[in-house]
Amino acid sequence: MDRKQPIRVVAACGLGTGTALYLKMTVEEILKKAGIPAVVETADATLAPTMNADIIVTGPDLAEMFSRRAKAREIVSISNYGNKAEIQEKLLAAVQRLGG
Amino acid sequence: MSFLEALNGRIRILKRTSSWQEAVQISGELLAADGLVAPSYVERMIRTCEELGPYIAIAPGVAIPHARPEDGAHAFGLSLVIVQEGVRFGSHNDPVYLLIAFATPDRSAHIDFLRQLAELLAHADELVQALRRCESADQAHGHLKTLLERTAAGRFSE
Repeated sequence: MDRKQPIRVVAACGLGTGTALYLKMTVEEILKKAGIPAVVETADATLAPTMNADIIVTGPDLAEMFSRRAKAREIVSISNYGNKAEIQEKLLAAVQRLGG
Repeated sequence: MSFLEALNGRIRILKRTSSWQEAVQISGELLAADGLVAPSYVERMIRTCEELGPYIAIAPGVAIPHARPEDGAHAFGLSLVIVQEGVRFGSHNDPVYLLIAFATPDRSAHIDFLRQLAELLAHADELVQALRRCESADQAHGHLKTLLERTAAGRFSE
């Protein structure tokens, strides 16, 4: 994968205002620390699956809903938003799969 | 605005609730009673979960009920409902003991809150265990204050 092109990540939740924004902040921090150029946006449950993103990050309930119809290449499902290690591990694994 | 300022004493402790809907309703009514949201906002908090699933249960034992700014949020603020025996949302993070509801009049007023929430949720187990044992709102407020101070100081787990 051409790393000069930032990856496009969508942090999604039901309404796009609460948990999505929360995830966006964490995702940005993790990718910045890992030195991975990225554009991180937020979206609600209706918009997220229609977006041409590389990765959608969301909770398990919406991940299941998205898995059938999302345009994104990877869906990362986070069960505990307080667990930064979980978010980091799953997110970076997805980034790796994109490159592979 | 800090977490405790945003909370402004809106804490309710319940032994149990009959359903997650009732728990969310009470968290919303605390916001509505202070004029932070319209009744429509409270209805929307519940309907969102019914339609989209229990995704607001974002960490073990913790849910953050909310609706959209345009659903009737007049000002930014929080409420805290503690359900001592826990309530089931049908989530992998069940049972939920803490409902931290919020209202935000736009898409950025609550960013500081989300940041503080992230710090608190990094220690969700300690937060839940400390708060579900509280018997009064004052006691819960005191615990929350201590936890927030320790989190801010980066020495939560001492």
